[in-house]
Amino acid sequence: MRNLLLSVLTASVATGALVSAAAADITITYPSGWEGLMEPAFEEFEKKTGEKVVATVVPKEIDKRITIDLAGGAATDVIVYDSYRTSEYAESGYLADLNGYTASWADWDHYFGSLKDISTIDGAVRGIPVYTDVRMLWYNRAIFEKAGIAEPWEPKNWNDIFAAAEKIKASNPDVEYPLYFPVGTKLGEATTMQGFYMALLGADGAEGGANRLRDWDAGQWIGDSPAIRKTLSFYQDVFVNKELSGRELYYTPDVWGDMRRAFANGNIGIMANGSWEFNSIWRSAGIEKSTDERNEFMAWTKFPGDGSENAPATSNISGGWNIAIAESSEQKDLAWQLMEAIFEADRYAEWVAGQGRPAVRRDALEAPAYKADAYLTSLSPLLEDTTGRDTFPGYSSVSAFVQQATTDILDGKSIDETVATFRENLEDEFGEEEVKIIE
Amino acid sequence: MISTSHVWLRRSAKPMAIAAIPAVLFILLFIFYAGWTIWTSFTDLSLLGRKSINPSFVGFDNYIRLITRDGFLQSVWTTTVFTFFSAIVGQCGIGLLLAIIMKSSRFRLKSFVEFAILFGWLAPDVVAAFMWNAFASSDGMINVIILQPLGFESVNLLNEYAIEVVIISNIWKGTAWSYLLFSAALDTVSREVIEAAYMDGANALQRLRHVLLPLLRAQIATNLLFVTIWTYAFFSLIYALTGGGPGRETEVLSIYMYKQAFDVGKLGYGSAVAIAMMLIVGGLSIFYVRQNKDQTR
Amino acid sequence: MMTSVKPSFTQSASTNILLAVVVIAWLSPLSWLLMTSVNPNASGGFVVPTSFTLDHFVTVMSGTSLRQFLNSLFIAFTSATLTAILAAFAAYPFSRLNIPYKNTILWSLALLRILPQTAIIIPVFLTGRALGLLNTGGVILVLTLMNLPFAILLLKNFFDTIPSELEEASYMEGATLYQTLAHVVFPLSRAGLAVIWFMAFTTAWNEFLFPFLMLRSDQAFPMAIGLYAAFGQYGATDYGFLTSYSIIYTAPAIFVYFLLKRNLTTGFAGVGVKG
Repeated sequence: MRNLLLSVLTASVATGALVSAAAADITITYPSGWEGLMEPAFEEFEKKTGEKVVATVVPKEIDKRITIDLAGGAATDVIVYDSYRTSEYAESGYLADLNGYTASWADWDHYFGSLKDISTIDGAVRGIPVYTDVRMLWYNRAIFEKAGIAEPWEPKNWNDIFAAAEKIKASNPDVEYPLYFPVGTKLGEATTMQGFYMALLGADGAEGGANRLRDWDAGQWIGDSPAIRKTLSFYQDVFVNKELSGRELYYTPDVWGDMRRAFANGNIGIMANGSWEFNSIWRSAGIEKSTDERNEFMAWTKFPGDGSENAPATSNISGGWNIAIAESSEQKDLAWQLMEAIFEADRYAEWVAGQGRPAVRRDALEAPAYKADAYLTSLSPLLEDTTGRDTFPGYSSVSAFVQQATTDILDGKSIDETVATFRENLEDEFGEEEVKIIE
Repeated sequence: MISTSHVWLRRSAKPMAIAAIPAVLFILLFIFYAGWTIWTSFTDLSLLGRKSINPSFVGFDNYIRLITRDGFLQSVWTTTVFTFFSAIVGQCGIGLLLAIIMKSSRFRLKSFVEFAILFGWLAPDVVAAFMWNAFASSDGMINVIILQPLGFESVNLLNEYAIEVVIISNIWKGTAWSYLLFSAALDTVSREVIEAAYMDGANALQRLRHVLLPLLRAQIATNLLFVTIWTYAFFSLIYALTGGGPGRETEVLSIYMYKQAFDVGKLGYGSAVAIAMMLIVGGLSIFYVRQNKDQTR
Repeated sequence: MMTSVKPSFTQSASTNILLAVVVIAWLSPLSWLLMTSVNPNASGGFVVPTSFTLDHFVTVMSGTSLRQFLNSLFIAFTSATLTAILAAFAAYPFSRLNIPYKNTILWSLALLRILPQTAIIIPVFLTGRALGLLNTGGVILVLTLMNLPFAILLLKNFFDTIPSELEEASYMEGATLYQTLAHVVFPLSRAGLAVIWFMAFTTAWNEFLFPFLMLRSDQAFPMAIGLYAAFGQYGATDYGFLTSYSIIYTAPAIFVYFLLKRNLTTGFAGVGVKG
């Protein structure tokens, strides 16, 4: 026994010593699942420069890890992060200014302007976008047929969505989630983006931040507005008044996997979700389905506005992930070379198409692998008509408040109480003068 | 009690103190961390952005918000309910009863019973969360084996009875500790006393109360303190199992604190929650100790 | 007044049934774990497997997962040993010397345990970086730090149950304090030390947050983090891997428990005496 333990100890110490990176190595942190993009790039980079890449692959909550790394001054040279963090990271001085590199990088011209804007703060490029996404309503075609809803389904307003979900509930009581609509804190940003924002953006016109969380011209966060109230009443209708959705799926230990399996197993009628789900559902459920079979099973439609006078006909919002260099890095030039290797045009285009993710640069859209994908090309109209989050510094707090507000509705609080708490939270955080009330 | 008047103790005090230095250094570092938390609780330090670099002193603002804003008090209540039922009634009560039964019975598979409750204790929290999710979900074992064959509709237990499931899972997880402690304590009590207490009939409860419990008073009091302290700060199993939901139904203080500090990014406010937790449990401990002293006097 | 009583037949039968119910209640959540881990078509629901495979276990006991297993073992073993040693040297004077308010001091320190790890992770991270300890060594040290207050309290309780006459005798014979500790006190305290060691071992074995945020390389990740490889946010949840990984992950703690069982049972009697 003692000998066994001793040998285990020595072995562990030995591996521990081997894996600690030497100072000259170039380091990178990225989420698991991206190996296909990263590993060939590392190989190429190592061959070209003679430097070694030391990568840390993070299996979950990479956002928290990266944030603590940056805040604690221990970030790797190259980092991968959710693009909405750009302004906050930049404000704290965590991200290197990439202008010097992008200026002489031919590929930068291929990127879409809107995505460049998200990643450019006060004229300085802080991160290079990897992919983006769009949002919509997915629905299960078999369930729709059983409910007698005509296809293609094109809801014109929120009542059309409720009506369809009611029909599903009436015709098929086994479906626990006639309308899956992201709620609560466990889903994190997904609640804010796939749920709250999608309703909010379609609840009013764009004038003065009426359908947003921030009035950019006035430089204020929106603490209360008719659109916010309408959005919360949407939640109230779904979860309390009409009971169109169960609750457990939003809180399980594996919220993503369980949601996808529920959809694949016909337990969800309609769901507000993202463009990646066309692939992710089947990968998560462990089911092989050809594109035709998937199209047979599911279809998507644009998320409608609420149908009021100023409101847009449909809503949509995009996010995505960036790769950047930490300001604390002492070898930024090398780090940039690694990034160039990661974004090598052909390899990148093939990977992003394989992921079923909308690419962020024109040349990738033209790549054969991407063009051959009918689903990805069908997303083009959504990509042309999209917007981003209100990623002013402080956004992640606002987003957490939004998630808490949806939780309050789920708990049975009134709209008035919920809005009052939301507004108080904003005022605590930013001060009253930075919070705007729209009557 | 032993006093330093013993020659050997007087002579040994110095080397004893020297040997304790490493531990003292660790504890001092821990106290420094606690001090950092106290300091932070009086500032608006955040995880990101402007206030992460230049936090300002805000006095008691964070503490005032604990009372005036939604969330904290509700979590105090949830945590108290959770601690009372899962730790005090559940772990301590069931642990004690089980220890008495096991000592007095001649059940052949005793070590199997021990293994069963130990498994709950030793299973890592994340593993436990997955097991309980699979156990309580609508296609889980309770539904498939018990409810459906009896003709009930399949119920999503985590949906309808989240706090109950969380409490039961913590009883499942923590009873082993109390059981082991009481079981060891019962070794010091004669077998007749235990068996007599366990006999059925009208006197059993009386005897349990008047004979056995006084003998175990010290252990019960100590153990109540232990499990209260642990359970009040309990985090990982609930966080993995429900994340505090549905809604805020299972949002105990440790989860509330985590969300405030890391999701919202308000380290100052989160620290105030942590300090408040310490004060609450500190108050409870003093109450326990007082009770115990009064009764033994 | 009190006579030795033999339980009646009905009573022992009802006791046995009760205990059987306890076993079933406690082990039934486990059934899903066991069934899924050997099911080639593993899924999240309660499904009785129609065929049998050990492939999942083979996957877990090789490559990355095996390395994570060894990492966990190293972290938990070292931290538990360090905790036991440091706590023993600190608890002993607390037990023997007449330190004013010593119980109050020890209980106040135990309250530090209430501080959620998330409340101190920032200063822990910063000091770790300043000292060059954002690595396995740092994780071991911080886990030791978290376990120490309680360990000292429990061990002090245990030492209190050992009469000091033997130590005095040893002193009279001319032994130094350290000799006395090594040859008299610690051997007599094996049981208490075993409890401390075991508690520290399981805490460290369980720990997710500190290793997740502090370790600088995924090569050094322990099992608590590796478990999440079973279900990426965008990938497929591999239930066979998840469940067999969970079983392997649980096994060492149970193994260690039965290895120390005899010591632990007496140890528990000692740590829980004083209020």
